[in-house]
Amino acid sequence: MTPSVVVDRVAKRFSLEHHRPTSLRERFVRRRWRRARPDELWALRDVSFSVDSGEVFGVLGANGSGKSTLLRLIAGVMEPTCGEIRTAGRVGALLDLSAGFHPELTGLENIDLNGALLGMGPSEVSAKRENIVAFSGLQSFIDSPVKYYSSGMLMRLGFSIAIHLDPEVLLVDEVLAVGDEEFQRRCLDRIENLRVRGKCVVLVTHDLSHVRQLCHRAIWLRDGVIAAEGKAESVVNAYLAAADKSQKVAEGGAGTRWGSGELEIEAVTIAGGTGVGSIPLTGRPFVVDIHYIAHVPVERPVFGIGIHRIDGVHVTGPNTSTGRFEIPMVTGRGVVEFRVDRLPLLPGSYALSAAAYDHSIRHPFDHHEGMYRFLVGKEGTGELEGVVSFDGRWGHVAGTRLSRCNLFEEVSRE
Amino acid sequence: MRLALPVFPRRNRSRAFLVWRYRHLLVQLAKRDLTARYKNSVLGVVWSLLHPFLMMLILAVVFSYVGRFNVGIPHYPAFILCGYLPWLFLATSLTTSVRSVVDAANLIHKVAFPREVLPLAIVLSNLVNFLLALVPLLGYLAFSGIAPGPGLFALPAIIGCQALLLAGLSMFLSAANVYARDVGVVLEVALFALFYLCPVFYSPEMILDTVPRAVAGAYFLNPMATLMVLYRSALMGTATPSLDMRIWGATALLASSAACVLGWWFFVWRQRSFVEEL
Repeated sequence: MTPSVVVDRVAKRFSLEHHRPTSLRERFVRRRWRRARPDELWALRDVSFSVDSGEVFGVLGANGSGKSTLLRLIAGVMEPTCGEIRTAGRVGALLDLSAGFHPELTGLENIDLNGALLGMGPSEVSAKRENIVAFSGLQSFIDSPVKYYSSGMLMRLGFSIAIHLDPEVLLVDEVLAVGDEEFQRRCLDRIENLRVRGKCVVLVTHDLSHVRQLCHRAIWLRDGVIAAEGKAESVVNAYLAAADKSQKVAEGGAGTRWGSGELEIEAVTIAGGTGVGSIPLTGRPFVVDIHYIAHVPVERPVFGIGIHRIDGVHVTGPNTSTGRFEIPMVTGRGVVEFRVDRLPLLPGSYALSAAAYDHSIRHPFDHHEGMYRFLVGKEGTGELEGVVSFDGRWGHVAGTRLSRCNLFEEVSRE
Repeated sequence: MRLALPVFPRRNRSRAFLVWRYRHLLVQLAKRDLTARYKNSVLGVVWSLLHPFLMMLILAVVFSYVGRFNVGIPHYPAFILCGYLPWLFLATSLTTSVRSVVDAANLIHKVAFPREVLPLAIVLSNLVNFLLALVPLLGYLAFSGIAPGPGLFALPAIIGCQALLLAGLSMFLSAANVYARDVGVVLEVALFALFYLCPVFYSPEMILDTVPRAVAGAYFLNPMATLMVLYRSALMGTATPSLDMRIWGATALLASSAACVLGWWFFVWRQRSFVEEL
């Protein structure tokens, strides 16, 4: 198969001037008196890979790892400092295009303008105009100036134009994180459609489940260098394992703590199936202990925990109030235990929060948001897709119709 | 069948070919500029005709009653209008296009397209505006009983020559403005000076009669001055006997072509660093 994108030993250097001179005076004063070399940043170093047609290729990495720079280099917005990028056919980028809209022009006029910006000819734009409007779902607003559009509407229109470009190479940058569920779904369908027709898609995202679901292969960029490359699944796992070691919660930093302090959480421990310190496994017991100290007697406190996957997905948030477990009074030290007999979480990295509140759950005594990290090991299950294991069992009956009532049909009849 | 070429070739490909492929964008941007300019005004496009006429009235009153520049010039209002319209074409093209790249910073960061389309679209929209204003000017000339000269057939060439000059200047200025934002301010002063260096409200004979021959030659090295003389000879049939218009016309064309090539070359050289500079 011929590669659609070839990135060959590409590097990109930026100069890091904190204040760029934009007037002649600044420029000449700087030239004359301070000739020091500005700091440099190599956003990308020696990056090589190729993407075949009909392939969805993922690019993973933390913020500032060079993902967006790479995408802009492929799109041709910037030129690499060294190395070479070759692309076969038209490169389209699924970006927020609302920057190119003119507020005084109507949606339809802006479609013409933006289509031309992406390199479409007049006949191509007029052929696709109806599809673009239908895809955006803005039929009733399309003849009003876009200055009356909400930011969400602008974005939908921009994506609709970009996605109809019919490129050989489609670049997608984090767009799946915005827009409502239904619009996201349509974008994903369209990506799949392009792939089936032999186009290639390069996807940059924080959402690891998208990489798992959509991508065939992926690279993981760390500080501008490829840290891992290969099958999407193995790259995601390598990324998760490293994110776990680096002691940082995915988006929110190293966790935060707040509360009035009458009741303080001193420590939180997690125990897997085989005792304290062992790695929790899917389908095995799982225990969280909250070690507290009450500086004054507190009546009917509520203890709770929260579990987020490392990419920010909120998995669960049980507390003693929803669990109908009342603690009448606490004084001094004690331990609150949360026990799960069969852990449904799939292997991966998770962030644990723990909190102590008053009985109304309005006043925080001590809240540790995302301060604890744990890993669910792979040994417990073979399942990989999604967040939790339902631990269900499959069945099969051949040659007959089940007479069980069908819930889906019931719903649709109503 | 689509050409198997990258949309935005990185090097060694013809820049002109690239701009040609984006001609539709050029037209769309010019259209956007025109529609947006008059969208919320009551008189709309009428302004592009009314504005030069009002300016002409002011100039005619000021320079005939205060400065007495009208002495020896027949049809002084028409004379002013024939110089002021090309002047307006120049001034609005340059003052708008100088910001065109800086204002489109957002787009430049996101989409790959030949960036020279931005200043060129401004020149194109102002060219359309200029052509629209020529229609009532011709009507006014006919109404005043002024016969166009034999050079009327050369009018498209004269306009093309000015468009070439403005294309070059606008590409140079918009790229230079990315490098140093002083360009916009310098341009304002330069345009103010240039207004007096062009025969808008006085006849070039005044220059030719009062200064030495060599200085007069230098005066007509300014292609805009020559172009105004050419516009008047085409539209009003005014002859400037002491000047050989064929030689000076060729000089103006040469200067305009050189401005276009050099401005383009400068733009293409600078545009590599636009993403980082903006």
